[in-house]
Amino acid sequence: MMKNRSKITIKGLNQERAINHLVKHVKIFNFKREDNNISHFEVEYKNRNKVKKMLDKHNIEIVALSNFGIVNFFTRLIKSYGVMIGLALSVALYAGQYNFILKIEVFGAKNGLSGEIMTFVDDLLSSKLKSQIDTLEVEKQVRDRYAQISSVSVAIIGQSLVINVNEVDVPEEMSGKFLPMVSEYDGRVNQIQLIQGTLAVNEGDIVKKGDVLVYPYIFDSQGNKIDTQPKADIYADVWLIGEEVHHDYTIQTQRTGAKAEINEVYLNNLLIYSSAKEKIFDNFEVECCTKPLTKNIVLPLNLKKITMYEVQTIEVKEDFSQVKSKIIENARQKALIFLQENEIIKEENVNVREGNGWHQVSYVITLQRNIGG
Amino acid sequence: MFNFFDEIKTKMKVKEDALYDYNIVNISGRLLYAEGHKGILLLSDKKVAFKIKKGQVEVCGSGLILAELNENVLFIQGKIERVETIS
Repeated sequence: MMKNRSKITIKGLNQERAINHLVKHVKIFNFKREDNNISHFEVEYKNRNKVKKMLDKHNIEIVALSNFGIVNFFTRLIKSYGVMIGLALSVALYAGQYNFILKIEVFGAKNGLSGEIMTFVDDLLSSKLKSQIDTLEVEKQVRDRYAQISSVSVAIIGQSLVINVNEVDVPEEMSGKFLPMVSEYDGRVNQIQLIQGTLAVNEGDIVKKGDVLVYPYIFDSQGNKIDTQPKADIYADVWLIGEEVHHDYTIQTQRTGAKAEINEVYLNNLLIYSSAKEKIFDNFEVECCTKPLTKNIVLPLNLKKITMYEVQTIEVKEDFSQVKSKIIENARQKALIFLQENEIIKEENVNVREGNGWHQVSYVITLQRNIGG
Repeated sequence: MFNFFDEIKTKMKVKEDALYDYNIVNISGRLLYAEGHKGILLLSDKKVAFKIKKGQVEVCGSGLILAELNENVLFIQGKIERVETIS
């Protein structure tokens, strides 16, 4: 295919003389004599006309001439008028349609606005011909039509009309939707600094988490209600409570230190092997973990390791007076969990409730905290 | 430029005049390379004869094709039975 040659079949006498003359100018390939007078050979495609003339001079008749190779292929293609016309038409059609916009794309719009803009621009364009589209005019029209758009840019990219929009970021005061300020903690209000809004509480009031502190509106001099963002610094005494219960008599479970391991092999969820032999401990706790033995779905084998820890129950008798300080400290630590950074503790109190064989310790930490949002 | 035949002749230390006429290489009885021919005398599928400086060479066999031919070099393909130099 890559060799560009012409195959020539000749007929005549004294072919050797003609060949000897030919080889002085061109190279000959695959010369074969079929008959006494008929032979064929190949020459390079570019030399075919020269060879034809030389053979004519020697009165050698050219019976057949055929060409092959990639150059010949393209030459035939070019002479194939139907193909060339089709190719030319395709190129012309493509070049022609490229001058038109095929689609409109909108970026940056939310909530269905992009569809609206697309329809609006589609109706706006009198022609889809690129040269007749004024992008500046389209930008102006879109900006005027949609007040919620702060900026718009229109460009023709390829065969698309690309519209980039930025929507207006409406500040809260203009959107008219405000929520009241509510308390984040339980406490007693002891300091109020109102900035904006209408107060719902006074100093000394006890509030729970979620109670309204400041309403999101004010009344002007004419008594008209105006919505506004509530703002205030409201401080309250907040109580952090930690509790701990002590029983004089308890039964506890303790590990003895003895343990045993059992291995089980599962095929999917079917137990196919277990190393457990007999009951090992009377009382025990179990920890298990499962890991896959194979990493394929054809044979999903899993290994389950069960560790049994022997346990024993013991009776614990502890009088409250012996462990009082420890219980109080535990309760205190529980209360301190809720303490935030840089907060100052105003007061700490301990309350002990007593019952039949039990004591409940409540540790209360009082501190001042801003309870507004 | 390196020439295989010149190298052999130099190595064998043979008088130059006698050995610069033609060179023939017969490869496995299937391909014959010849350089230094002075023209084709006979072409057929059983015999190919070409002139050399002082005589002619005949290549006999069957299915012979001139695979390549130019002014000085020729390749003969086919079953080569005999190569004879006639002075």
